[in-house]
Order: sequence, then structure tokens, then C-alpha cells
Amino acid sequence: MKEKSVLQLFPGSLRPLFEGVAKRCFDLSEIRIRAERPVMIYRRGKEYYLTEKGEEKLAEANKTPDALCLETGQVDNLFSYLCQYSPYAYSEALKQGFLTVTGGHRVGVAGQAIRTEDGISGIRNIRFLNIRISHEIKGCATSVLPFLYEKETDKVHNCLIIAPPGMGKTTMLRDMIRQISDGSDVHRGSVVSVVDERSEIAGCFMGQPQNDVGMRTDVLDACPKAFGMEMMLRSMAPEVIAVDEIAVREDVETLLLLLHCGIRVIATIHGDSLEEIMEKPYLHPLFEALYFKRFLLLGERYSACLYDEKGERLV
Amino acid sequence: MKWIGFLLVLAGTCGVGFSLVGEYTMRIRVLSQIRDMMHYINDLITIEYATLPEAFRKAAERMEKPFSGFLKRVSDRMDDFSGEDVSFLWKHSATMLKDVMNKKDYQEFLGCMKQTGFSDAKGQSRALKAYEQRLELQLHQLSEQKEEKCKLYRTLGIMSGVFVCILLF
Repeated sequence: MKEKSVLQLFPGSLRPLFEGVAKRCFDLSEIRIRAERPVMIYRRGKEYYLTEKGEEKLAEANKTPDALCLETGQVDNLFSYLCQYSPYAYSEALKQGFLTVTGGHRVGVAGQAIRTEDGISGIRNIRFLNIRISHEIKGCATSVLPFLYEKETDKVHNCLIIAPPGMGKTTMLRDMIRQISDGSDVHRGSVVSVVDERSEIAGCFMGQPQNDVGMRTDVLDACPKAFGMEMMLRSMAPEVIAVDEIAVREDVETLLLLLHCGIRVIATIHGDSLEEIMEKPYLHPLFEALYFKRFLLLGERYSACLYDEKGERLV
Repeated sequence: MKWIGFLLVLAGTCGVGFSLVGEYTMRIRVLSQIRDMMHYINDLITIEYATLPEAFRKAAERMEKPFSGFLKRVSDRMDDFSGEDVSFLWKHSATMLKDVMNKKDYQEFLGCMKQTGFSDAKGQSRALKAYEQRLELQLHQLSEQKEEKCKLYRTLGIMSGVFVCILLF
């Protein structure tokens, strides 16, 4: 299934070259395509280049003798194909520099920015594509899940997932959402609203989640977090709201509003430690009121440390 | 026997005349359907910012056979990310319309999806609109000449039959 979704990213003329890459998609993280430059493949932190025969070879500095280099026209065609020949329909996403395609994979784009008085209105002459392969790791949140529920009420604790980039915050959040939404023999399922500003959690393609986010989950895709959380609060009557990467004051203000309303929140944030997060001034209102009862710190390979509001380690 | 022969000749030539009238009327009907189809697609692109497969799928729901089937086939293949480009899929699927369309109209129809990949909806719409306008113009001309042409075909059919009968007599 995953293999097919990776292969589907390429038009027929390029498919034979990417068949091998797609077959080993289980550890594939990125495919970087640059016009007239070698196609690079990233797996488990290692960098490979793709040969003209479709084989992967470990990249060493600037030595890529038999590398496959796509021509400008081929990159253009690949981009059009990924957009289903309708780039206009993705104009809002392209302003942010990415689009989400079938399978929930994200394609970052770069080229020539079109500047207007209001900022960047789009990108033309797209010559650089970064295809980030979406990975779902079902069950990665299982070990922490029992500690996320209040014993008396069976409601979910407000939880903040903290980790540096690339440590699996979104993957962990996605699995938490799925399990909280579906419920289990021990815990009932809850109605979860996801505000997925960058289409990374649910990986929506044409509004349809490509990742399993549970049977009681509603997704608002490609909407700014602060605005989206308020919308979901008004429209979908959620028990839990989940958002990725709290980064600005407006997000915190809206989170406070939700917490005042009794909505449970699961959010992620960039950071190396709990102390570092606590020092961020714009987060002070959240911590002062002791709203968050669980803090999940992620390390290498989804290793997780769960703390309670007193800083005591639970897992 | 001779009179039966005359009658058959007359019936044959009249049949040819009336079938030409039928073809003419059918051509107008088919071209109006294509115009409507392009109009729906254009509206979906400009108003809803629908992608091409989405626009084809929604337009298919409003169209009659065989255009509904044609649009559904193209949108399904595009949604499946089958690897082919939209122009190829359009041409390939259009073979099912070959029988209902005039050769010249068919060739023009095949080429109408050559211009895709616009970064703004207006640009994409303009490209499709150009074809829609050509269709509109063609339909206008055909409708204007309809009465005259149909009369001509019918008269020619009858008169040529009469003429052949006179020659044979």
C-alpha cells in the first residue's frame, strides 16, 4: 500500500527509475529532486543518490558519477503531475511552500517567488522538490496512553509533547489522536478535533485524511491554528483538540480560551527540555495556571519520557 | 415493376436527404452538450477552485451519456495517479465519443486539454474558455444556417430522386 502510494508520486515516464526506492519505502524519509542535479534519497539519516538505472548509492561529498539528473522539463512535469495538472487549486498551500499529495506525503517546493505588495503570492519556475514521505507508526503512543487519562473521569489530561525537530512529535501526536478517538476496552472513545495547519497530522488530500486519525476525529485542514481552534470549538463540539507546533502568542491565547471552556488539549512544541519550554515568555500563562498535567519528552527513536505537572517522571 | 423501382429510388434519395438533416441536428446537439460541459468545468475551476479531476467528476454528474461516462473515466484515472498526463487521458478516453462526433469537431475536442498547469484559476479558465467560445461561435453559425441547410438537404434528396426517375423513364 505504502509502496504504491510512493510510486504514484511519479509520472509513468519516471516510474521505472523509482521502483526500487518505492519498494524500500519503510525507512524512506525524503526524496529530493533538483533540476539538472542528482536525485537524492534519505533513509535513516543517510544520504544516497539515485543512479540512471534506478539504483541507490551512498553519496560521498560531491562524487555522484552515474547520478540520475532530471531535466528542467521533467521537474516541471513532475510538479504538474503531483498537482493533478491543477496548480491553481493548490495556490494557498504553495504560498506556504508545500502541498500535500495522495498518501499524505508532503512536497516542499522552491523556485522563483512571486512577490506582491501583500507578500509572496506564489512560486513559479519550480525547480526544487522535497518529497517527504509520511510515516504512520501505529502503536507508538501505547506505552504512554494509560497515563494520559484521569482515573476518576476517564477524560484525557491536557498534554504537551516536547521534542527537537525530527524526533517524531507529529507521529506520536497522530497515534495519540487515533487511540484517544477510537477508544479501547479500558477507555471510551472521545470526539477529537484536529487543526492541521500544515497537513502533517492527518495528511489530508482533497480534505480526506490519508493517515488513520481515528473514528471520532474531525479534521480542519490547512487552517491557521488559532483561528481553526476557535472554529472547531464552535462548530464540532470536541472533547479534545489536537494541534501541532505551538509557536506564537496567538496560539497560546486561543489554547487558554479552550482550556477555560473545559476542552482538553494535546499539543506539540519544539524544545529540548521541559525547563527550556518553561522559560519561554509567551508560554508562561499556560504553565502558571497549571493547565497541562502531562509533559511528554521525546528523544531518539521514539524514546519517550512522560512527566506530570509536578515534574515527576511517570514513564 | 418500373414504378416500384422509381418509388425505391425516390425513397433512397429522400432517405439520404433526411439523414443529412438528422446528422446536422445531431451535430448541434452534441456541440451544445460539449459547450455545457466546458461551461460546468470552467465554473467549477473559477468558483470552487476545483482541481481538474474534481471538476470532471462533478461535471460528469450533470452530463448525459456518453459525456458523463467520458468525464468519469478521465477523473478516475487522474485520481488514481495512473502516471499519464491529462492530455493523454483526455485523448485516450475520448475514443468512446468518436461515434457521436463529427470528425472535425472530434479533432478539436481532443486538443482542448493541451493547455493545463496554470498557477492561477483565471489562466486555466481562459485556456478552456477559448475552446468554449469557439464552440459558441460554431453553434451560432450552425443554428443560423439550420433551417436553410435542412431545407436544402430535404429538397436535394427529393429532387435528386425525381431527377433520377425522369432520367430512367
